[in-house]
Amino acid sequence: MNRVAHLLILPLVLATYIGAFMIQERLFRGVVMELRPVPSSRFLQATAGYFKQLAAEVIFVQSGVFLGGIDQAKAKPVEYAPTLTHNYRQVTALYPEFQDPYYYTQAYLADVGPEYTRAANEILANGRKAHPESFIFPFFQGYNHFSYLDEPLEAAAIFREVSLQPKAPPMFAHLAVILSAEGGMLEASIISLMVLIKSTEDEAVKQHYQEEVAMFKSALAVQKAVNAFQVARIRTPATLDELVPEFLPALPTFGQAFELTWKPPVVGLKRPSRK
Amino acid sequence: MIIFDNVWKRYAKELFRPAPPALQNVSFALERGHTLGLIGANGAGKSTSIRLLMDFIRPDQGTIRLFDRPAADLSLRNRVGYLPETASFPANLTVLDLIRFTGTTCGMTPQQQRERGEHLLNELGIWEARKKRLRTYSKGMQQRANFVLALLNDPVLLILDEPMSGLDPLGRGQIIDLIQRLKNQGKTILFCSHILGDVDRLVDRLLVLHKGQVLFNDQPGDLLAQFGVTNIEAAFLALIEQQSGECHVA
Amino acid sequence: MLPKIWSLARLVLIDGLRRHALIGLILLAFGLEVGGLLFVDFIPRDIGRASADFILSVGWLTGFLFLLFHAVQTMAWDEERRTIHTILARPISRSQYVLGVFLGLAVLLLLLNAILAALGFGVLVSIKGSIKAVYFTHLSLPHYLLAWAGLFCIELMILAVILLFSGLVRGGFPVLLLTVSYYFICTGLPVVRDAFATRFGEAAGPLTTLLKGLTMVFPDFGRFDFKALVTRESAPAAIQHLTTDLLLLALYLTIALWLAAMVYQRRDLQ
Repeated sequence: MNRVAHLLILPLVLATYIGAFMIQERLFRGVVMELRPVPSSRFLQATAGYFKQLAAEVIFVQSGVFLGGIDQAKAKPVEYAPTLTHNYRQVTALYPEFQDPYYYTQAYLADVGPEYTRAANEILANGRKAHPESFIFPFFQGYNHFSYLDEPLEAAAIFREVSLQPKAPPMFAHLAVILSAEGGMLEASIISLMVLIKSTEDEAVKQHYQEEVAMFKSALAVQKAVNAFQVARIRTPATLDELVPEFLPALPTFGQAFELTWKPPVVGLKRPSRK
Repeated sequence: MIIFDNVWKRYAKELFRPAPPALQNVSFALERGHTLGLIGANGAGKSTSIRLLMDFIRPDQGTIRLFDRPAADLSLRNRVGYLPETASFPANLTVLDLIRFTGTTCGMTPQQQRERGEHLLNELGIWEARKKRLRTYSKGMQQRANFVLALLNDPVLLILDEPMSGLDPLGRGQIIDLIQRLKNQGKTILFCSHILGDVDRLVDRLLVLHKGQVLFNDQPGDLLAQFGVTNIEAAFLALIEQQSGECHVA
Repeated sequence: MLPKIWSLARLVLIDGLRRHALIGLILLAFGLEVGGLLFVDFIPRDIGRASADFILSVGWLTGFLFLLFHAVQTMAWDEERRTIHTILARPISRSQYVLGVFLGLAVLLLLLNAILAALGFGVLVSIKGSIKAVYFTHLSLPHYLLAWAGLFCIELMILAVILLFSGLVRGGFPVLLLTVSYYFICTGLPVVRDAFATRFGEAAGPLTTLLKGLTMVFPDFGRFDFKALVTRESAPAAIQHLTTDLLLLALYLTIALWLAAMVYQRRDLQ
């Protein structure tokens, strides 16, 4: 080819290429990045080998980019939650020590719906196994149980378990007590509070716990009144007001601290802010 | 010094058909101080014979002895200088690197390596290029570098595989002169070549191979006399023709 | 014997050092390691762990490329270009040849790993210094070196197997394919064992034994993966574990190289 042909044809080809590229750019401008399900963790482990940790991190970063790119006002989490759940399951199975996926699980899955809250708790269980010294992951699990799933007794069990760990913050034991009471385990809560009173050296905290013991005992009296009502009337009361005055002089009040709950046949105590 | 006794060699079977034997019942001997020329067409078995001598490959049948020891005996290599058909070096090495390697494996002291290496590099005219990488050498220079390595340990026996291969007439002449000098020094030399005119000038005995068989094993003059010709090429061609004719009759 | 092995190793080492490809590998790896500075921007919390994983993964990638494209080719070229004849024409046995090539390539690999480890540590220190302590709580130099040592052990095992494959088959490409297959079997076998253990427990019996036996041939490289220790303050890995790993490595290399030497001893070098 002579030089003239080079000077004419090459710029033409280049210009055509640039034009095609610009058209392609415009076509793909509005395309939102999809979140694709990743292969199973076993497959990833087998293929990635020494790179498995990096593979888990890359998958996590992809999910982060996706979550950062969606329009929060228009987004319907329930649409991407299944894929996100699957991906985080694989990532945490592949690399349980990597902490960030657990935080993102809690942030983006726990509040989508009960199914995803339970899935989040399963994922967080991996985190607890990999980081037994961490208090954050069991806290997330317990929170999910009592806040999203309305399962205060399950939450209490988790917090109680964590409270037995060395260096566990005292709040876990107290949370276990409060949530047990919400679930109707008043006697157990009273005993736990008494143990806390004995193990605490702070007088103000002791005083606070003693006040709570008194309140729990009042609630326990209501439970006993319900039991008596059941024996006498062969049914559970429709409301706690039915107990008054025959079985109970008056329903106790607890000010801003607690309020009575009635989920037949269990009487419980709940913080008013948890309505 | 070399005894090659009833040697058979067949390479691995090719797909769907057995490979013809590379060597069939080949026997020859080379005495100290003599020069043996190994000639034949491509595929005759020359390189196979040399590889068997160097223990790169093993015979299927027969024995090969150098200095009255099996060819596989490692200690023999101290007394053997080998020139491969194609110059084959790790790409980024210099001749000095290989001199050091050759000298160390042959048990030479560093001083001996230095002195002998310098002498040979100068004798073969590649002293100036000693620090350049071998892949930058011309074909002739590579061949001379090969000679340096082959002669470094002052071997008693030299095995040269196509020493003139790929060289221009000037290069060929230099190598022929070198071989002649080595012969005059009393070295025992076995070399193969298909430049028959060069072979004729240098050898005491001639071994002609054709399709893995020995056709002739005697002095060059006897071959010329057998066919009443005056040059080795004509004698070689006549011998091959005679062999082909015998095969057809058979 | 040792001077001969070392003299050949020296040739392999010099040849490798003079190849620009090795410099290219180091530059590639350094570029990737510096790229780690950008990668960690995407990690919200566990930056220390992710950085250490990234640095060591880059080291592994580089080492693997070296094994596949330099080590495999060195063996293949020796035969294709008949360099092996030039070497074996000297009083050096085929076993010494195998050991010499292995030693030369192992030293090259060690140099490569040492350079990348030093560069990588610099990158990690830089990352640690640029973020809050809570995101990168601890960087342990001894554990970091241990992680690189574990990586080097894996590379040595693969190198020994490459030498064995090079003796068994001709040509660089088949050896490369075999090496890659070997690697994937080594990484996949622990997953299969784990899956069987989860599903069948101890009831699997003969199959479990078979898988265990296969793991002796295709070792679990995960047992040499000490990346997780880099950001830990104290290492739970007992001396016993490390001693066992080193013993296993030494024995595995001995067996693989012995087999390679036996193969080379027997076969024709055409």
